[in-house]
Amino acid sequence: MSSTIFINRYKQLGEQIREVGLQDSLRMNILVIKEEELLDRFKTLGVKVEKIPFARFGYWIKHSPFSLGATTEYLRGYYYLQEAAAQLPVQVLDPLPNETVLDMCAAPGGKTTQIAQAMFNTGTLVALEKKQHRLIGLLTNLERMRVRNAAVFHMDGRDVKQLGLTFDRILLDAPCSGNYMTDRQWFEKRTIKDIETSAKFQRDLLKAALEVLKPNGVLVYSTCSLEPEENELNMQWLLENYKVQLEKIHINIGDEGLIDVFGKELDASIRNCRRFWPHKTNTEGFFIAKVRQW
Amino acid sequence: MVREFLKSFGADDMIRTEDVVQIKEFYFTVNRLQKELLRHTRPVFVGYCLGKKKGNFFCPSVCLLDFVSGRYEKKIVVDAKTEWLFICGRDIFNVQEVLGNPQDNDLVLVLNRFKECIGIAQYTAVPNKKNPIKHVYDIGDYLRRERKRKM
Repeated sequence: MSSTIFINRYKQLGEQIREVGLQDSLRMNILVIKEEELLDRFKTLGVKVEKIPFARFGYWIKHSPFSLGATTEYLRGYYYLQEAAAQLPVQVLDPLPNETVLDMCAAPGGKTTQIAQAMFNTGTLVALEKKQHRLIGLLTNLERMRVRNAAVFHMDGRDVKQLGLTFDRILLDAPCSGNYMTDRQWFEKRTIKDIETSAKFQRDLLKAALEVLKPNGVLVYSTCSLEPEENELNMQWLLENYKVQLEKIHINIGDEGLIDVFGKELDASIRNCRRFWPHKTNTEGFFIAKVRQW
Repeated sequence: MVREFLKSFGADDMIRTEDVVQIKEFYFTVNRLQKELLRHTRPVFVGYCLGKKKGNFFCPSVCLLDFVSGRYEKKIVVDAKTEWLFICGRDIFNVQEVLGNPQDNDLVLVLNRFKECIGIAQYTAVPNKKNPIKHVYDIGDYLRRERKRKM
């Protein structure tokens, strides 16, 4: 059975997974409303939130008398419902005003709107989305969150070179096999072959990203997968084939990246990555790497 | 279409025509950098979204509504219950405050109790079941687009 295979793999990596309840969370859009003002509004509405210590504008939703996905505040772009760990890749990317930044796999737009917020709606933010049906949600979110510095292209990230642009920073939040926290049927659905197919696709995206990254530019690679093939092993492949280095990630959550994977010893700098085991972080599973191109 | 919309709110001088671009059903204003990008690429979304065309109707973005709200004086303020009913597409029967002396059939901006614009309605001084303040457009359109996508 698939679950036994995966659970045994996690054991080999030193982890005994157990189920934890995911807490809903949101990110405030400080370009539209002051943090204190929205907190006051929530109080008036009977919504209880609590600051997420490791996410800059993130709050856990402790209690709400109604769905926070259907409020005037939501529709006016005051916040985005975003999982806590998913708020971190952009924090690590740390985009600055007036830079040229690429979001390679943008829909539904949580991280894209977060990048725009960090850039104070200046510079150029290029967002790509390959799937037509996911574009509507992306465009709606950009409009709702009042993003002004974005250009969205309906294209496959692997073809980004065709745009003829280069970037100071790139976020590659790669399509991945996912994890058991966000999909109850995950263990039944997934096979090792899926993981390998996904890892191959991610390498193609990494390759395309490095081709358009400026020298000394930063690429943040993230997935919501717990499988080493899509994470540490992809970073090992990157280090072996490109002039890049992995920089230390300064966030106070998650474990170091693994450097001993199923008996294979990996480059020591892979420790600089962060790996989120749900049973340790109370978030969904996640992996983040910060890559600098020489 | 954008100009016509702005004209009906006395705000047609707010945006320079040469900065407006239409991409499929969406309208945007673009800055110098974005104009340059448009010269050699074909984005599906670029710059500051003004709104989208739905048949012959223009659906303003929440940004544009706020923009117009700073200029147009005819407004009505509604309470929390009416606010949510309006966002769900319903007409208005209950008004807390009327601003800018609107006349019957005038377009009015609908504000919630925090004086934030949540949409547009057609005014009537004495609303009743047969003759309510008619719903024209509301920001709940964002939710309806999402629902339509998921169906």
